[in-house]
Amino acid sequence: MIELKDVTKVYKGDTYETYALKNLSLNIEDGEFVAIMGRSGSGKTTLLNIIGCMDSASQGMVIIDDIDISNASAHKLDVVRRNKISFIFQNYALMQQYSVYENIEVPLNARNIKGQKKRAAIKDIMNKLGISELAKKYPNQISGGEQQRTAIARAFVSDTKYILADEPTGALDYENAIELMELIKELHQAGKTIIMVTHDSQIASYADRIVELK
Amino acid sequence: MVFLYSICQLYKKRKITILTIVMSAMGFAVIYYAMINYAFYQYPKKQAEKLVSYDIQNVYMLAYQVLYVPIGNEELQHILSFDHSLDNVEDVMSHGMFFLENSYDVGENKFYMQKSISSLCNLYNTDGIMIDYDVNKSEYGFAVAGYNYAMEYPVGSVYEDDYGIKYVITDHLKKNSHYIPDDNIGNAGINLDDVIILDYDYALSQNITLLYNGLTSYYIVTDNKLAVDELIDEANGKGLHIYGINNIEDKYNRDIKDYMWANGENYYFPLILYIASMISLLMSSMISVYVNKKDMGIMLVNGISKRQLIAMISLQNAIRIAASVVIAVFIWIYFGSRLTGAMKELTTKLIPWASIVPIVSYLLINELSINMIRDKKAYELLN
Repeated sequence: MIELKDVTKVYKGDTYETYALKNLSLNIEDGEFVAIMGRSGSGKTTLLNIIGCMDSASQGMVIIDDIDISNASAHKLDVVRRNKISFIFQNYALMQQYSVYENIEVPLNARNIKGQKKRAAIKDIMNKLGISELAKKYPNQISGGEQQRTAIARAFVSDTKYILADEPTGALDYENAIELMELIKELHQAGKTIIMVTHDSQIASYADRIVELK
Repeated sequence: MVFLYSICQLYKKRKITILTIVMSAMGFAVIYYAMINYAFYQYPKKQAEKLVSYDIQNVYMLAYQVLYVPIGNEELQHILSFDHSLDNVEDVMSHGMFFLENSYDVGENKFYMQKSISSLCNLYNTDGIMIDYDVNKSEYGFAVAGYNYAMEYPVGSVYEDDYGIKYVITDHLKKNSHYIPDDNIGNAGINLDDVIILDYDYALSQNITLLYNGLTSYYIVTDNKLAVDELIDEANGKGLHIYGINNIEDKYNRDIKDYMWANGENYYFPLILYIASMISLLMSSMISVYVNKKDMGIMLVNGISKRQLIAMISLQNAIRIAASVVIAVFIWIYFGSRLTGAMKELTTKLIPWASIVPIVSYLLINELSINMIRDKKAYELLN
């Protein structure tokens, strides 16, 4: 379970203070599919970065599975992120010099999963997402939809509990976007907790709950 | 995992890897060149200048028979007694002993030489010494005959010294070749036309213990001509000879002036090259971190920790610098040998320093390149 209590994120300069989030409280239950919506600048991505241990809150508490990460060290955030969280990004965030297979194996290597177990996990997720044929291709040799499937495969292969998706369909056409959301929904039904940032209400409708930031 | 991805990144971006290694290698080659220039040419010259800066007319060197022949124990005592007798002599401003590192035998017309000095011989018109002559060292050492011995000892003939050790003559020196002892004050030089240079290392390996390091002495007197004459008379009375250093300085400058790297006016040139090389090394490392920044962000959000990323950068820097040093040494041996003719010898002397430079460079460059990502958050690296 993820708990946010009075979370504030403020960016300070010499002459300005900008609040990205102000006194936000939110609980996300295990197994939930939550869509976070809001206008530009409402703090959607900031919220996702804080939950994903990529940034820290200025004030308030962030608790992930009873671990308070509000004032955690950078190394502790790395450990929590490695064990519990995976990401899907709008721009796919694939390493261009690495093949599809090599991109998908990154989180498994990070978790020191080796040999047959690693190969089986990658094969399984690639089959589920229909990208088995692309294993040796490089990101610049495949379509945007296929790249996002690769990114989704990478997010799901390591079996983390929480999947954070930042506008996962933002760079895709309508048909590909719907197809991809069906896949994410299907994977969610296998028990993952999904937190997705989107500005598209149709995409958000795939979620169990919609949180709107103002 | 850190090792795997370090190698992987270097390979996947091999064009930039090769570019940075070549940049670094050139940097190291220049650094080595600057170091050698300073250690082997600038420093000895400065030492000599320090001595002659009093007034070259008034600096006198004392030696046995031949200028700068080192002295054995018996002779040393003789010189020392003379030296001590000058403690209270009016007009002697300063006197003292200095150490000659290389050892020679004082026997007639032969001379043990450390291989490393051959590089300096080369600088003074003796290029062509075959240091790497391939002989079976269990039977023969090598020897190089002076110009006047060329007929008596042709290349390939065998010279036997007073201890019964045999040396193959591998080469002859050009006429008027001089040996300038490196790292010795004074740097007067010995004319090598009438000497046979024997392989010092080989002689040592034959358990010859009569080789020794030697001391000789210097005197700085006032411009009182009478004092100088008295000094010379006193030395002659004891079977010693005194030589004015002004002749030495002329010879020194004449030999050295055309050699750019050893020209005192270019003192700052190696320093500028060194700084430029360090910037080149640093830039190559930073370019590498910069082009891998996004990949590092991707790795970070996929479970690889910041500590592991830092370890990867450190390892990649180490690999790059190690490869650069190897290439730099090859560049140095190949191209350097065209410049001075005996680079292998210089390189051998350089090895202790050559290993320190990459380590210091690595520590500095690694710290600066790691700083590029140390305080960055994952999403900052991704963008």
